[in-house]
Amino acid sequence: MIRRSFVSSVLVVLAATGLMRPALAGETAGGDVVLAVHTAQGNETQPLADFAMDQLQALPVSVIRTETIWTDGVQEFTGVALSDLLTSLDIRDGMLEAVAVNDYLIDIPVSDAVPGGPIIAYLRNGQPMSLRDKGPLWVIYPYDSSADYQREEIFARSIWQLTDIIHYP
Amino acid sequence: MQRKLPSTRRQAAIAAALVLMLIAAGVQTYSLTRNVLTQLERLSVTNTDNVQWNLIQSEVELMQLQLALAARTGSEEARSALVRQRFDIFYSRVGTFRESPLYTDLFRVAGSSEHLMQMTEFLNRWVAVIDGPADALLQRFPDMEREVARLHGDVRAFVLLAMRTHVEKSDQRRDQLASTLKDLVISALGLMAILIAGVILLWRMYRRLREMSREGEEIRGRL
Repeated sequence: MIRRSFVSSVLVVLAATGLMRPALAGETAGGDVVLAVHTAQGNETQPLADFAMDQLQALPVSVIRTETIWTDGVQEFTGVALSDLLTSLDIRDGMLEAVAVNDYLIDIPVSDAVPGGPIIAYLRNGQPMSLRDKGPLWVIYPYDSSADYQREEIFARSIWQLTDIIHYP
Repeated sequence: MQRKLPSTRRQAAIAAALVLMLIAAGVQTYSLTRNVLTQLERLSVTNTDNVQWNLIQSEVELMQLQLALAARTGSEEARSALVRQRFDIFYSRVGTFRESPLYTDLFRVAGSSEHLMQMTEFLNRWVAVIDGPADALLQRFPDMEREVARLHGDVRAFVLLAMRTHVEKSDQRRDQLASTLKDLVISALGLMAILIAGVILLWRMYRRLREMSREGEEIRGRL
């Protein structure tokens, strides 16, 4: 509750200063919700924040240029760094469960969210990604930057068509 | 002394041959070691996603589209939205097969590209209807459902062919590594044998020199 109160306060302050930030669940005013973040409390989950696309795009922008095993040639992905997203929600440790529209789900340790690490991409080569193009959100790691990012475990965490994140503290 | 010269020459020739064999075995072992390291590196830095999962998912996602088409409950808007979503998910999966380098080799198997073409043609045929008005889409549900039912055979055949090819490729990679490791062990054993032979030869040469030295001293003593 303390954490949620803190997050709520931060969001209110940022909204008041005119900066686009995630709205509390159910309060999104910036269009359709594309990413819902929840927090697990015991056996239940509580909504933490909903993001419309323009709210995600208002967060600090990160770009990764990399080849992927699912695409042909070097691709440029633009999005919000997972570390920036989690910082905005005051999530510092634990585990994330990422859920896709096709019911795929995968655990992503919060420790993965380091600067220069994975991003939640919303543009591929400068274009929004439709559902047919693995969008609108796709978790992308900087695969070409390190052999550590070229493992099946990391590929499995590169969830596309992402819709929900559940945080397990 | 005269009698022993040919033996010394022979030993020198043997020593030279051993040195050459040692160099050859060393080069061979070095080359094989590099080969093994490269293969191990390839194994540790994998470039393969869970291919089997992706293949199986195409069947699952086609079935989900079929279920969405068959659903009779819910509003027309909700039903068409669900069908659109399921169609797009299946479209995305087939797109991965077309675009990803992981699947390029799988399409070289006879028949698999034809099945993939059937899937692509189905998607291309229906994409305009999916993107069109909801009422027009709803009216075409029965037609689409029939086509999806027919497409099942192609998806199933594609998955089976691709899985078989994927398994064969995985086996080939494992066999290749095992074969290289075997060669490396043989080469290392050869190298050891040459080194042992070299040590024996050196020991014999050392003994011969001591013998010659002793004989020389005896001759000098007699004089």
